[in-house]
Amino acid sequence: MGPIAADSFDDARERRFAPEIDGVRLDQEQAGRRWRRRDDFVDGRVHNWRGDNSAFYLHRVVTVERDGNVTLSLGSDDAIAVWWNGRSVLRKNVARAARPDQDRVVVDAVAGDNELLLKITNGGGPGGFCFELWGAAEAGLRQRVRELERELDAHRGPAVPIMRELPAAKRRTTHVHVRGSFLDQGEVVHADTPKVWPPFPDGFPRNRLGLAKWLMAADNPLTARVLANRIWSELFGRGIVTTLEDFGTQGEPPSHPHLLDWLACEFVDGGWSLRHLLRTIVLSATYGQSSRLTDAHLRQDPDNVWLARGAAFRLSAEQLRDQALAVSGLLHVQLGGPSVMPPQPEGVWMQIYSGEKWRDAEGPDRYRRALYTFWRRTSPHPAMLLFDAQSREACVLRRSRSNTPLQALVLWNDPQFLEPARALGELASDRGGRDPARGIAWMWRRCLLREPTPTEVARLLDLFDDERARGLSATYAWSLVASVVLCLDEFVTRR
Amino acid sequence: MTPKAQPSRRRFLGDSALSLGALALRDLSAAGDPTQRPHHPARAKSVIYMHMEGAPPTLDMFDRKPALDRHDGEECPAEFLEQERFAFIKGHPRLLGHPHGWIRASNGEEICELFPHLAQQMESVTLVRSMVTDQFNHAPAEHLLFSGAPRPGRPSMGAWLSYGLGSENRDLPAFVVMVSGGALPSAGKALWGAGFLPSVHQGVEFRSFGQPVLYLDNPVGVDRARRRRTLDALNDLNRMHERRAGDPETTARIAQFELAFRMQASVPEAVDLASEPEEVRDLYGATPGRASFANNCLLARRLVERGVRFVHLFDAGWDIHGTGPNDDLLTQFPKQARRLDRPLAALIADLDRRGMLDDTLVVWGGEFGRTPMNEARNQAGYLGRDHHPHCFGMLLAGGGVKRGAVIGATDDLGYRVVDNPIHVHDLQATLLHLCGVDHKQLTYKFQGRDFRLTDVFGKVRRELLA
Repeated sequence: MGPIAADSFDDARERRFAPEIDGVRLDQEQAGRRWRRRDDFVDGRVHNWRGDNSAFYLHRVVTVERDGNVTLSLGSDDAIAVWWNGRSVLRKNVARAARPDQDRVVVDAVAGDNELLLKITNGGGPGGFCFELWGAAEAGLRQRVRELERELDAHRGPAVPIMRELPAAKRRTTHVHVRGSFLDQGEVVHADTPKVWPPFPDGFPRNRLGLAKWLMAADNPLTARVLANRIWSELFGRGIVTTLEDFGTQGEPPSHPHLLDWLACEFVDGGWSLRHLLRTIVLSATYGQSSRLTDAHLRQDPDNVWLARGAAFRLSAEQLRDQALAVSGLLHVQLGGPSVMPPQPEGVWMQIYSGEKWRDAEGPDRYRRALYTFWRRTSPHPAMLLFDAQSREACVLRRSRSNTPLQALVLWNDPQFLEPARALGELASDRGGRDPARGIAWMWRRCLLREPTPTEVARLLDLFDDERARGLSATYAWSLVASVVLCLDEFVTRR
Repeated sequence: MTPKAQPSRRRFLGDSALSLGALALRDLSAAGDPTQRPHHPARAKSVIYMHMEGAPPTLDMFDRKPALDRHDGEECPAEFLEQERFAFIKGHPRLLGHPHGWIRASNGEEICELFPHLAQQMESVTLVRSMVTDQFNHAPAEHLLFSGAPRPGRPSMGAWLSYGLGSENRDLPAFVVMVSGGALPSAGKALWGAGFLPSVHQGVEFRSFGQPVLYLDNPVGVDRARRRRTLDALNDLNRMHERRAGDPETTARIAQFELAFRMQASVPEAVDLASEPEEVRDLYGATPGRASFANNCLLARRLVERGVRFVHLFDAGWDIHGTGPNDDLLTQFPKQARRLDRPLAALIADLDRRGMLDDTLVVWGGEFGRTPMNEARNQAGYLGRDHHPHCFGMLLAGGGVKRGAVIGATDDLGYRVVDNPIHVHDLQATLLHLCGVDHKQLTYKFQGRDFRLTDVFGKVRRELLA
């Protein structure tokens, strides 16, 4: 019987309609409504109806051979109330979509007929329910199945959704939307590649496999060049084509077109091996140059377009953090798995449409690579943004490289750099033993990969001794010294 | 002009690179050089933009409609519903008269009785009754209003101004954001993001609790003297490296660390409301140490005084649907009015008496309007209005806009603009114009084309200008 409209969701849920007051009278009119037989309501399936703020009553006679427990497995959209042989056995105020087995009630069944009455109250959108009856043996088996599935899931690891093409019959027709309006449909279009590029061969299937084959075909002039250019840009701080994302007419022309061609060919001939491409570049004389700038460099080629010197540029937000964790021995190198939440200041994480919280990770998850940091576009990690990570609302291939006082503040005061400073200080203190100068030299080598000059050691030793003389503990003085090293231009810049 | 053909102007202006808005010296040419100087003489040096997140019922504040009161409770004209989609209204809605009374404001117009302080300042303000937008949900409408497009990913207007004009103050950011009302805007922090612009142009959030700027405070055990000593050591070592590497970027980094040290003093000074005379705090209704819209208004004045280019205030709680006492016209709206009236009026008066209003543009408004019909979602017994993109009111003051003007008009029921519609793109164009920037000239090349704040739209509305 239903849906019976009410003034509000609460009203529909709380008000007692005829079946609750007078009992169920299947063959009579009750308060102007009649019961209808629904053979279409099959057990174990979700059935839906429409009607905002309404109540829906469902009645069923359950016949069993002898006394004993049975389990009612129920699902509802939204609130549910259950009576078994006239006794209320479940009342739950929830808002949800109906799925099988959301609630379970174990009831005593008597031999012969038992009466089951459900009341489903729907708020907005579709209402619905799902019902299934399990005997005692069945309930036990179901429980076991569930446990085994859980066990299996633990072995499988987290499920990762993967995009898959729809089967041909289910694909929708795609139209041009005139002036971008989703209501204004123009001509029908089909999947194809832009005509300015090499034609799509007839033999290739017109799906993602075909697209992949076309992309990687030997005569595709773009793929290898684009990738070689990106690798080059990672190593030199700027691409041979500076507009990494745009090789078209609006992009910049390459500074060294023949070099780009050669690298692209070398990449393809090397079997598309990234390792081979990287080795080729980093073992070149060009890459091996010193990055020291002279006045002539600054005057004639400040941007280092002509590569008369080695590249120098600040590390990315991610690299900076990973590097600090690595030199301090804190880095946890586990591969893969769900995202983690390293510390961020309180009050930054304000979610608008969910109750999710940012919980600073404890233990190894605190020190995973920055790559694994939980990312939400509406509230990205603030320290990463300050070092020019993009919020990822737009696809930006080239990050700017800023140099701001806010970055200095992060290097000084962010726990993500303070904790490595402390850990690094402890390591240096161990290495130094009774001779702090030895610890400082070790720290210097570890962070900057070169021997310090005597002046450099002396300057840090000076700071260390001064702070010690002012009453600072050795541990703290060591972390201050380590923090200075982590802030050095030579440490944050790749040269 | 390609970046290669002409070295960037900023490279020769070593000084201007040492600020919060500085890019790495060699990275300026990523997508062309910003102007960093106005296209024409600016009327406004700074902007304070007060955004009422959720969209206040400006119909009930500045746009009295006697016909709406007369037809209160009647079904709205059927033509309102033709080709129309509402966010929540279903069926045939009924008109809803103004729930509060009216008083005479100093510009001679009527204003809602809940705003007695603002009423006295209306002679200094341009009231626009004919704002129009394309979007009727919060996040898209906010994106459209502040970035020129209804989807996330474009730079916000504060970022554009920072990119175009740089900062006036070397110790403070060009673009500062403050949030009140207990919630972030629907569209999240993208509203003050830099989009595809260099990320130094994003808004810097000044917070009302804890440290005012993230990472500003030194860790326990490091006082100012100790920070100075560690910085001296760092500077000495960096200078040795500078001599070896010969890279001006190192020079810049040394300066940025010094600036960070200065900020650790200048920011707490700038946000210290306790240093304001009691008379001024009372004028705003500000209480040091509490998070409030009133505090943010007073802080906005202090920041503008110190040369911050764009102060963006976000205040939540204005989504007056009438689904319950927390979002209705009889309970929630008066609450919000009390939080808004005094500080908004105080800010205008305070800027004016200090002679700052002439070159500070103050903008107040929501992301769209609200329907003249009662929303009555799920037969709710409370009074409220649904989202409405066809007309809404905004206030502009100072910075080269007229005093006491009223621009545009809506129809008898406040459903559509009948005179002088001003689209949000026009507001953006006019705002940039007042800051000395031609909205068609301030562009940034991204993914093969030049982008601008006003997309391909927008006209400078001269009728707003003094």
